[in-house]
Amino acid sequence: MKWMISVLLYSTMLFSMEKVHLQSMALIPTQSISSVVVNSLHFDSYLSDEFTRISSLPESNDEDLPLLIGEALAYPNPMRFSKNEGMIGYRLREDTDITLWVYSMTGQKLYSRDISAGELGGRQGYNTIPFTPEHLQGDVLSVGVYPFLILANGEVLAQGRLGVIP
Amino acid sequence: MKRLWVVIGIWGCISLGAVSYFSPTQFASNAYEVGVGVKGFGSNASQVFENPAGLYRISPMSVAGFYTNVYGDFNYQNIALGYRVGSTTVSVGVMQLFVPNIPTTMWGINYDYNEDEIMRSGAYDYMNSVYRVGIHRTVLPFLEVGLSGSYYTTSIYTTEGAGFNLDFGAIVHTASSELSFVAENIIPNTYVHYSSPSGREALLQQVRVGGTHAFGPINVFAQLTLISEQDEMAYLKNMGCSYSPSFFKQFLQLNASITEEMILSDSTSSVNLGLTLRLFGAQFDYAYRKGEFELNKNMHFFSFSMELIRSKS
Repeated sequence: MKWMISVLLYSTMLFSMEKVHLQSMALIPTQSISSVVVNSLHFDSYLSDEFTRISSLPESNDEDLPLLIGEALAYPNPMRFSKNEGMIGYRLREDTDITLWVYSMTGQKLYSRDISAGELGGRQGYNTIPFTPEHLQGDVLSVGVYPFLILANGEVLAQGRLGVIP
Repeated sequence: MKRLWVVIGIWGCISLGAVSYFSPTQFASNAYEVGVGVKGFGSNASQVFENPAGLYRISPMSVAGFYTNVYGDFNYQNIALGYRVGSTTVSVGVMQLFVPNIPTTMWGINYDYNEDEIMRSGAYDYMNSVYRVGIHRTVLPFLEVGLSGSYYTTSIYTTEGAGFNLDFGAIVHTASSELSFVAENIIPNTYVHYSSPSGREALLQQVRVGGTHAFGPINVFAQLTLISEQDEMAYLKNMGCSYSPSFFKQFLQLNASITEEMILSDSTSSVNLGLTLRLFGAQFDYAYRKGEFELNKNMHFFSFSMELIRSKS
């Protein structure tokens, strides 16, 4: 008798699980399965170490971060300067007055630009400022490599190199 | 004289409408000449980079080297060898500017901010080389002439460039004075041609006239440079002096100068200080220039030369 009750209970349990599964499948439209999976993964990570990582995402106005976060890079690098392509990108913690200096290959300053806080180039977040012949009164840079500095209040925040090809 | 300037002016205006090629020899090729502020008055094989007629000063066989570093990773260096037979001197040299590890970039997503930004995708090097062969001949006891051929090569990322030209030099000298004349890149309409992407840059044409005169232990130097660049003519003025204290005889020399340099369409000036030590046929030169790079304003130039065969005089 015990044996029969056990079999009955087990089969009932299996049936109910299958039913739940079928019910849940019926509720999920086929086209949104992938998003459900993604959400489920997100949910898993929320419960695990991933949650710690997500919750500690750096905020742009975190006082512990440097004023210029990461590095300043030119794009494209090398650039065809004469074709008006060229920009310098960097991320700022907060709105800041910025100065850009570009140097010659012989140690002399060849371009200087002041950018006020809040303007493009001095805004909190990621900034890109164009650097083209227009900024050199039409002069074109020779093929080579040119150092640049990003400064704020006389302090150097970052340095970089931009290459020029014909 | 008027005709000469008209000829120079026309010659200088021939290459129009192209960007000028940057050659490392425009910067400096030995520390002695950085110190005194003029080119063409050195006494070793590096004259092949400045004024081939100046090779008349070298001993029968001389080797010279030069090094400076700008920005921490811009390395300028050269080596030259000169050999004199009778009234003729032959010299060969190579000068290079090498910059390693320049980042290539791309746009990518920064997952920390969930935002697109410029990122590193690799690195490349930049190499700019000048190979030069020069010959000098004493035409008259007071007149030296020289000719040098230059082969320019550039390598940056996947782009290669090459070009060729000639320099002509002459020097007139007396017991206490010298006058130096150099015309660089005398073949008109010559370019450094690039591949991938294709393009070209004009070889910078310039004329330098310089002079020196000795007033006892003090030598004064002056130089005027006429440059034809991007449709424009520019003049650069350099002045310098050297002092050899009598108690050190020829072993020690102190140098100082003010020089001008072309930066795009403008000129900028620098103050240079130098020191020369001569001992047993070897010469060590050091020069200092205050640069404008905020992270390191001190520029140091070093050069060394040696007489491999001492002159009998």
